[in-house]
Amino acid sequence: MSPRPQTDALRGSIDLLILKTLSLGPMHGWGISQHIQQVSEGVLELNQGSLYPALQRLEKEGLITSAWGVTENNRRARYYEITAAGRRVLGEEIESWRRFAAALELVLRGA
Amino acid sequence: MSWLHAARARLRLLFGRREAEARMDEEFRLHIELETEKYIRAGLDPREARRWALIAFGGVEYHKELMRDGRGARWLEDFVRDLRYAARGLARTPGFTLVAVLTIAVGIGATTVVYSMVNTALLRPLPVPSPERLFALEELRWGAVWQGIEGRGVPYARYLRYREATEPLFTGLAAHRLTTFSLRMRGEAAAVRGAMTSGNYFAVLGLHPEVGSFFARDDEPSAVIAHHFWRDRFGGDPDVLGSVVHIDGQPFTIVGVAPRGFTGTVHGLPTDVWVPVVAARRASGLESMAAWLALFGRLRPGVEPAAASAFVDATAKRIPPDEPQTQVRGAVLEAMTGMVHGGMRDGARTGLTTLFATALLVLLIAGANIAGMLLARGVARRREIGIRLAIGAGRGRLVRQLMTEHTLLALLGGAGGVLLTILGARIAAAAPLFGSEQLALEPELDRRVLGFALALTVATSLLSGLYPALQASRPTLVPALKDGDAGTAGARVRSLFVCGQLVMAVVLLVLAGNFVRVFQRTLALDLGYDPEGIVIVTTDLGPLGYDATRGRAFYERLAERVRAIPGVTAVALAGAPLLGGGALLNDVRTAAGDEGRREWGVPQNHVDPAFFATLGLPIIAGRGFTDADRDGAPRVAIVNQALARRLWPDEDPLGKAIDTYGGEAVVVGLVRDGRYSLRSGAPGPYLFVPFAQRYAGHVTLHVRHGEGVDVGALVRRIREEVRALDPNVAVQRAEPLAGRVAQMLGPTRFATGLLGLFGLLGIALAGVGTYGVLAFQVARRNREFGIRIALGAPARAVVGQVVGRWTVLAAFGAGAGLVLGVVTARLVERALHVYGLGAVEPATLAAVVVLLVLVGAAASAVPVLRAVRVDPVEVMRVE
Repeated sequence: MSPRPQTDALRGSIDLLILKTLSLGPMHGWGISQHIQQVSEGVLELNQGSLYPALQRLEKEGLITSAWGVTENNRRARYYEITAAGRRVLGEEIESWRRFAAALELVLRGA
Repeated sequence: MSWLHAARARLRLLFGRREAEARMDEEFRLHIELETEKYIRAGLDPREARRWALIAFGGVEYHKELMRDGRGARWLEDFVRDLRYAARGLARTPGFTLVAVLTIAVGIGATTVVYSMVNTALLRPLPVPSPERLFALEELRWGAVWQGIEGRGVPYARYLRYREATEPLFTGLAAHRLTTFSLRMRGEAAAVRGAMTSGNYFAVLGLHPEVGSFFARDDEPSAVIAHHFWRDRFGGDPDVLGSVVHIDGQPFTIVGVAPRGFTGTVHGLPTDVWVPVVAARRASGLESMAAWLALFGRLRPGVEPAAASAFVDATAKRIPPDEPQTQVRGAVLEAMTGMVHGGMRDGARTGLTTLFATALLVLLIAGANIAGMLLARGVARRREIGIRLAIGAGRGRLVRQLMTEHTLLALLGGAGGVLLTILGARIAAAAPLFGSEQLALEPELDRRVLGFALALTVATSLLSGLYPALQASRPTLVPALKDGDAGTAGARVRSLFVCGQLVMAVVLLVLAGNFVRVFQRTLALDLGYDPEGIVIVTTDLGPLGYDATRGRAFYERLAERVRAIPGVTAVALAGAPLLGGGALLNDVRTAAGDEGRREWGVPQNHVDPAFFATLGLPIIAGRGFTDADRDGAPRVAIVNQALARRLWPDEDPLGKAIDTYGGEAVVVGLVRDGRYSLRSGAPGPYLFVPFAQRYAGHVTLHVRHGEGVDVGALVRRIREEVRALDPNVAVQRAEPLAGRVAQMLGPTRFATGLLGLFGLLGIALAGVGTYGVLAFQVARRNREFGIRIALGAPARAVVGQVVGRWTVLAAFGAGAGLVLGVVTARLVERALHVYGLGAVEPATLAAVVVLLVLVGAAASAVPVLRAVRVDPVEVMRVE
């Protein structure tokens, strides 16, 4: 079996970032990677290729769908779109992330 | 509808491998292009920009692999790849593939043909709704007993009592009896296979008519015809409903056609016409044993068979017996399986089981053969497999791949086997299985048979393929790479396989040889009379309402008319043909009260004065019957030698009195023993009484004709004479007596033929296996032989090297096979004593050994020649 380098937490956060990005509107793979980089102001330096296995996984889980489309420069690209199920999962994930972050914050403050 | 979308996406991911790969490539390319352009816009030169883009992206192939795994279609892709690889591998060695596929096909075909017969005769349920709720009610009784193919019978009046008493158990209790009707529509009467049934027969079975309706009462003059009868006799014409036919002389209206596929309640004995029992026996009466009926019912929902059986047993004891001499011990319920009842069932069951077991033996031999071939193939491919292991292929992966190849081989063989089954089933369809009764069984290729073939295929692939696959993929890298050859462990196992094959093949041969010998003995049986030149014609006046006087007059007139036909030299009347039963069985006692001797169940036949001369049965002492032995004259009898020996061991039987069915009689003659059945062994006792002193409606004419007479034309003339006397009388059977002998030998001939075929297949397969092992050995040790020859070894030594160890093995295998074969033959004899199998004769064993030596010689000739002719120079040059 091939090794799986990402920890669950990291994989989970990639999923979260993708879903959040797509909740703004359909986008192709490169666009997603640029958006994540810009919004995180370069802090989340992500291996761009690892985006695609994540996209495939999310599509398989029915959280996103994809279809061929055309970029502003008239090039064929695969556009990803969040599904209703994806939005629901995103909401739950954000909620639990916030709780986790808040708890972490509390612990850190107490220390 | 998002779930639908998601499902479709998942399916696409799973199966659209090519599409997925293309999409992956395109997405990655675009991503890297866009990233590169970003860097170019930032001022990098294109080459540098692309480098940075690739770094940012990470390992392209690595991500692709992750996605391929993520698709979850890995095993499927691997499987398709393995399949393609296996197909290529098999195509590369067409000789090997052909032999292997044929071997498997023969094994699976043989087993499946027999299985389809077993399925048709024993396993297939009746074609009615919920057949598992149908049970036959079998009364156990002493005294007057009637046992037919459809079950044990009871008188009609008794059936009515049961019907009433078992009301709480059954939705209905039906009665039936298979019989032969004489059916007249226009012109000549024809004998048809009929069933007399109760009115609720079809309702209890749960059937609906194909056309028209069913009869509902026991006494209405209505008839239902079978679908095949409707199609063949009436061309499927719906107007046939309402037309009147004469059945045993009585008018019946055809009211309906039974559903297609339903041919009665006994497999292989299709019924043409169903008639209500009371109406059918109106002329002859319901009291006669010819009207006794077998019973079956459909259990009500919730009624347990065991409880019902106990209830039925109690009921049987409560109903008073119909005759004072009869004692009813109880009754049981038996599942209605469509199987014939009585002794025939056991014969069919043991016969088919034996055939099935021998077919499995053929399959085992074939499997061992395949295993040996695959082992050799694995050794031959050692270098290839070694390389694959060296570059990192997992062993599990390799085993899977080899098994794919073996499974593909088995599937091809299985398909061939099904083809052979289709061919074989045609032949088996004509096979008489149950003795003289001609049962029409059509082995069908239904789902069950095909499933069985598939299961055999999978089992073959697993049993014969797994070990070779494990063996071949053993990681012994270094020797494999160093030299295409490897140790001798595999060779030893292969030899064991061949040895096992030989053992099984010899067992098969001994069995088959024994059957052939028995068959030859049966063929050579001296009947004690001359069956050549005699035609037997059977008619039955019983159901037509003839009394004894009119019946006798009919037959005497018929005999006279037939005697006048040109070419006929003699005509004799008898109650039944001598061969194949039909005579009543009765107890015979010396009329000395209770102290006298008693012989149970002696066949009793009433024959006219011409009978003994016509058949060529010599009267040894006393006289034959004469015209003076009439009704009213003193009762006389003639005994055969066997009966005389049993009743009066040391005395002259002439003048002695006997007491039997019909009263006392005086023995006036002693006749030579003849064959009354085809079982080998000593002929049994037989009693003859004068035709004129006893009457039964059922009579067989024995017509002796001169040489060169056209038998077909003669039979037609006799039929015409019968019709001229009474158009309602149907000729039930008309055939040469010699043909009847052949017909009765049918089942034995069939079983013998099949067994012989299996035996030959087994030894042929073993021969192929032997050849394979030897040829492989020679090919592998080519260099060694070359060196030996170069060093001056004589040809004899090389031959010894090739066949020495093999001969020891073969001798051991053959010896074990012979011993096992003799033991098995004894077991089969016990199971199939009906065929008169005896112990295996030494001649049979000798024949088997000779055949073995021949096959061994043929199998080793080519490899040995090849070994002796190895050219040392050629062999050295290869290295």
